[in-house]
This record gives sequence, structure tokens and C-alpha cells, in this order.
Amino acid sequence: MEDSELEAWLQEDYARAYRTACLVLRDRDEAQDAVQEAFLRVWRFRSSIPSGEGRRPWLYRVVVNSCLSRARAQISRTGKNTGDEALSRLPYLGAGPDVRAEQSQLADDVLAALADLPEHLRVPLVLRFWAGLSEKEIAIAIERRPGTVKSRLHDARNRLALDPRMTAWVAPLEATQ
Amino acid sequence: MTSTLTDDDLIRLLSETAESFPAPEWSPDRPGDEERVRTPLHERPAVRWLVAASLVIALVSAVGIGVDGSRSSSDDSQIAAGKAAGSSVFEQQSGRVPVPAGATSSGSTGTSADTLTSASAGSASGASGSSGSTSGGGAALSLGPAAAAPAAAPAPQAATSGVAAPAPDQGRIVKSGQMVLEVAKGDVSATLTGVQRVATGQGGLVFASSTQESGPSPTGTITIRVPVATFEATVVAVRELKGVQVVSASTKAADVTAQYADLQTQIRTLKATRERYLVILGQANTVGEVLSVQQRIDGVSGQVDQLEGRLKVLGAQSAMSTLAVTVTEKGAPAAKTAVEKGGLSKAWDDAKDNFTGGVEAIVRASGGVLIVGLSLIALWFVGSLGYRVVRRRMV
Repeated sequence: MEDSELEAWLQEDYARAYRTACLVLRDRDEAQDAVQEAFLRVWRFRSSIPSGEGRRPWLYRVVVNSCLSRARAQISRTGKNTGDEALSRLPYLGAGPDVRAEQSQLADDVLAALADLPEHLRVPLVLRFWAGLSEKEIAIAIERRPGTVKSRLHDARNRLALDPRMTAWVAPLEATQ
Repeated sequence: MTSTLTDDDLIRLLSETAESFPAPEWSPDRPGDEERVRTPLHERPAVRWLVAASLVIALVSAVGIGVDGSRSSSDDSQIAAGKAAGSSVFEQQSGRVPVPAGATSSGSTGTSADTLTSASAGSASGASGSSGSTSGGGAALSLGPAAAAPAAAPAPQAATSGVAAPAPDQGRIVKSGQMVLEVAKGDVSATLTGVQRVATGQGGLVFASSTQESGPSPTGTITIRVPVATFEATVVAVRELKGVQVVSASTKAADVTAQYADLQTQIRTLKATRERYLVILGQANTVGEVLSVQQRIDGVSGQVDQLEGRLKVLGAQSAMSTLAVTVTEKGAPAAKTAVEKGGLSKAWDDAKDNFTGGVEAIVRASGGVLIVGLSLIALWFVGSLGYRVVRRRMV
């Protein structure tokens, strides 16, 4: 892959990767550092980037590993998970103050619900429903079998379905008569 | 009404949450990226481990220095006390000076060949003490103005050799020496045999011997052990061997009398304590009491055994002195002698010794627990480092 082509590809995916890291780590600064480090590593070792369909999951594997390293380093330094104190620091963009307030509340609730998910469930969930990776691609990214990924996604979905912070933002089903 | 979370709901909720984070731009040439990635020096695990390891090494070395210092200060005080009492610690170095013939007065640095026999005879008469005897007209090597140890009745073990060993309450001196001799071509073996005869003549024995007779420069070394009272006479006798030229000679002596007496006192005290415990054991009624007293007895017995072992070693060292002789042919490259190191080299050796001494002291105090614990920590560290390296390589 040419350098210019690679740069364009990385720039295109940077925002999505950064937001993936934000959802995983729930801390903007840590996410930025993690993604910067991951992308620098990708740039430095660009000769080993796989071609074709394997490229994207490979990129997310680097990003996920970088995020998990940061999270573990944070725990070993402070004993706390990343994002425990960061929820209040989120900048919110929106049309007007009411929308911003609602967005802020939604983000707070979703991030709080994600925080309660263990890491091994949170990561595949974010990669599937935010980054848009398939189960096979997620398996490459987190270095697990596709069956394991399916099982973890199922667990994560079930847990979030029982979380009132998530279901509060979902339209209720009409009762059948 | 109930609600459920569909895949579309999840996608919507995560998207709305994620898009609330404004994403910065990325460029490979972005300034400051290297700095962002680089962790501060003091936060790097490797640096922290290095600092911790340095602190541990310094601490262990300090323990070693402390242990060594306490031992040597007691030795120094004994030697100083000995000096004050008139005993001497001597060292001499000589160049290529043939031994003068006919020297007979006491205080001379050498004796003639004639006096070798008389010195041996004088020794055989049963006089003890490292000052040497003056009977028979010969003069053994004088140690200085005052005698090292007062003459005393010969100890029983000297009867067969005719040489007196220090009596239990007499001064105990550990003596050792090194000599390098040069002889004519083809005389190395004969000279070594001569040294051996000197040793047996003085009531001693050959501890080790080796020769290298092939090659351009044949050499031979022999280590002999002789009763401490005849050490000086032995040195003189070796000097006086036929055809021998002394290249270098050095001797050393350390007074361990106080150390020996101290060990004896400690042993006596511990044995008395053990006797008292045995009496108490006879009065113990319950199993718990018996076990408690027995544990103390075992502890004291262990200490007694340890001290008795040290006493034996010290006794052996002060009973028999050691002389290492190296013989080379004239014209051959000079034999390497054990040269005293100085400067940085000595400092490095001292540092190593202090560190290992400290480790020994700590291991002795803590038993095997420390070794097992440190091994597990080292294994864990290596394992986690290897895991990180493997993970990085998988990128």
C-alpha cells in the first residue's frame, strides 16, 4: 500500500477508531492517547498491514490492544478503571441547550451502563454496534474464536436489556391484547 | 408495557453517545505525537524496576559491609591488643638478594645453612612459641623486640613431631606465606623435593603440589603446612635450599587468640544453658511444655554445634600455618604471584564481596523463605515482560 493511500485510509478511520476508544475507555484523553499510539504503531509497521478484508479488523486489533494496555496501566497506577471519573468531563455538542441536555443525559446513561459491563463483553459490543465489524472481524480483532464472540455479544445484549439506564431510552413495546 | 433492546436500538444509542465525542484529526507528521506516546521516565516500569533493583543491591551490600565490619573490627581490636602486649604482625618482602652466609645473631633476617639444622634441632627440643628457640646456638627468625607468645609446656599432639603446638590458653596466631624461587635449569623438581623435606623435617606435611615440566618454562608449586611454631624456621630453611634464589617472599600473621577464647566462652555458656533446659525438661508436665523446652534445647544445641565447628576451624588454622612456594627456572618468564589488587579493581572486588556477604547474612537469617520468594518474583517479572513483548509483536 502506498503511503498516501495508507494515510488517507487511516485518516478516514481515525474518527471512528477514536470514538471506539472513547466508548471502551470512557475517557477522552486516555482514548486520544491510546488511538494516537495505535496509529503511530500502524504507521511505523505499515509494511506488515494485511491487504484486503483483513485490514480493518487488524487496525481495530491494534486499537483495542492499545486501549486495554492503557486501561490496565491505569488500574495498576491508581487502582481505578479509566472513565470512572471522566463521565462528567464529556463535551456535548448539539443544536440547542435542551437537545444538548438530552444528549448529555443519554450519553451519561449509556456510558454508565457500558461501565458496568466487564471489559470482555464491552469491547465486542462496541466493535459490533458502533464500529460495525462483523463477528468474524471482531474475532480477528480480539483474537478469539467466532463462537466466543457470538456468545459474548449475546451476554452483553442480555445484560444491557436488563439495564434501566438503557431501556429508558428505548420505545416501549405495545402490549398485546 | 415492556421494552426490549434491539440491535437497532443499540446501534442508535451507541452512535449518539460516540458522536458526542468530537474527534480530532490525525496526521502521521503531527508534531508532538512522539512526545504524546512517550511515557515520562519516572513512570516507565523498566526505570522503576531498575531503581528498585539498585536500592536492593545497595541495601544488601550495606548489610554485607556491616557484617564484615563487625567481624574485622573484632579482629582489629584483637590484633591491636596483641601488638600492645608485644606480639607482632609482620610482613616482609625481599628482592633478589642471596641469603648471607654465616648470619647467626638473633634478629637477623636469615640464617646460614648450618643453622638450619640447629634451628630444626632447637625446635625439636620442645620449646614452643613463635619467637623461636635459641638453644643449640642457632637463631631462628626473630619477630621483633618482644616475643609473640610466651614459652609454655608443649601440647600433647606435638610429641610425635617433636614440635610444640600452642596450648589451649596460649596465643593463637594464624600464619601464612608465599614465596617465589628461581633455580637453575632442570632443578625445579629437585627444589620441590627439597621443600617437601623441609616441611616434613619441621613436623609438617605437603598440602598440595603440581609441576609443569614440559614446555619452555617449567614451573612447580607446592603448598606445605607446618606447625605454627616452626613457620619462621621453615621460611628460613626454604630460603637456604641449595641453588635457590628468592624472587619474592611475603608472610602474614593474624592473632586470633581473643576470637578463640571468645568462642570457647560462648560454647561453655551455651552448654550450661542447655544443661539448665534439660533440668527444666525433666520437670515439664504437659506435652506443650515438653515441646517448648525441647525446641529451645534444639536451638541451643544447634548454636553449640555451629560454634564448635568454628572453633575447630580456627584451631586448625592456628595450629598449622601455610606456605605456598612457586619454583621457576632462571630465564623463564617470572611466575605470576598473587598480586594485591589496588584502586578500582580492589574496590570492585570489595563491593562484590560485600554484596555476597550481605546476601549470605540475609539468607542465613531468613532461611529458604527469601530464596523461594525472590525466585517467584523474578519468574513473575520475566513472565510479564515476555508477555508484553509478545503482545506488542502481535501488532
